[in-house]
Amino acid sequence: MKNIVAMISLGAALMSPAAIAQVSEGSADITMTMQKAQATTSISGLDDFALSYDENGVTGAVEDTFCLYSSTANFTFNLEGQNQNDSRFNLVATGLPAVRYLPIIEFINSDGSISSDRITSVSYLRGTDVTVDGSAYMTDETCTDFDNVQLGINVVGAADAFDAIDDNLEHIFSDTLTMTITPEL
Amino acid sequence: MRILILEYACSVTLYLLVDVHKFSGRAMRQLFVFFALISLSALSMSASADQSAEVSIELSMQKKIGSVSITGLSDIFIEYQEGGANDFTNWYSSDLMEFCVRTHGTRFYMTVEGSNDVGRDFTMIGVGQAEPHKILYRVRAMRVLDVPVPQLLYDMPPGEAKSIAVSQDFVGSECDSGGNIGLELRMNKYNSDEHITNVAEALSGAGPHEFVDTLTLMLSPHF
Repeated sequence: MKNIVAMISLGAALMSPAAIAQVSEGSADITMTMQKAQATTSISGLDDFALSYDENGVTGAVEDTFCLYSSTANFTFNLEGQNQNDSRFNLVATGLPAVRYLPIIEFINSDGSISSDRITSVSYLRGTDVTVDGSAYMTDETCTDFDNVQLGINVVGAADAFDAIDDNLEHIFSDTLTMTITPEL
Repeated sequence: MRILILEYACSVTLYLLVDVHKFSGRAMRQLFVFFALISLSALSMSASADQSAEVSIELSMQKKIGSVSITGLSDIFIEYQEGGANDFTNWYSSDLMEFCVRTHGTRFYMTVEGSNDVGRDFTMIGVGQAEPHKILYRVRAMRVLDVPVPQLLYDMPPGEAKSIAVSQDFVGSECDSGGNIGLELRMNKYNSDEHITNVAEALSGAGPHEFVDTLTLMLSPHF
């Protein structure tokens, strides 16, 4: 603030009338940069899931680790599905019963083991905001040393859809998960 | 001196001291420019720090076509010699004929039929005999995977389907890791059909005597 006042004073001095009856003109360029420290967040390393289901159940990689970062200790986490049949997550295919699945998101300890701290559990409802304290698992924005979160896809309701298939064709059920984190300042 | 209070979106309040008495038009324009800069800065600071990411999930669902394959079949021989080294028991067994069944799922149905079945027995017919003798025999299905010695699964009555469990992990896609099922033939020394009471009676005349039958295995997937 002292600097601003000094600059303005200088401007005022320049604009002060001279002893002679003449209007003089002066200008003062004033700039100020003002910024709060910006919280940073990032989600990286997420891979798409390609699963198969047959008489023996689900095959394919049902888990994927990725990096979740927030510069704030607490952040709000939201997971939304594209198919909004109800408050759960559903994989859908045209003309067939939906296949319910549970996205479970868990923190990973530095030794690679799965933490008991979960961001979403089996009871998580689609689109619900949850406040998460992830400070114990945050390292850097890119998780240089290890991914700190695991997403698991648990298919729990495929029987109805499977029974409805009466041909030998391949049916693709799909959904898109949108994961959003918002820093809590 | 007057105090202008500028408030903007990010709730930062700026107190700007200005001497308005001597303000010229140009100076006022400069101040407007300053206002504009402040407003722009406020918009910039309101930018969200939210971060979103998407991941797609696809589940391919398909019922398996009801298929089953069988490979590695070979002929089976059972030998009897009256008074021979093996003539000390009532039952004579063939060597085990191992083969490989591969099917979806963990079970399958297997049925065995012969050319001349009689009740619960299969029948071999004498070759080159004016009045061919018949020798009755039975068929056993044996498990040969993951067991130290072949293990009886079923006596297989002709034409009767039996459900058999099989580990898909045991064999490769080409069944190149060995068989998983075996068949064993057994005949009783005291064999009887309408002509003979034991095998020896079927061996009249010069030998060796040959008796044959053709077995047909029928398999179907079981989910």
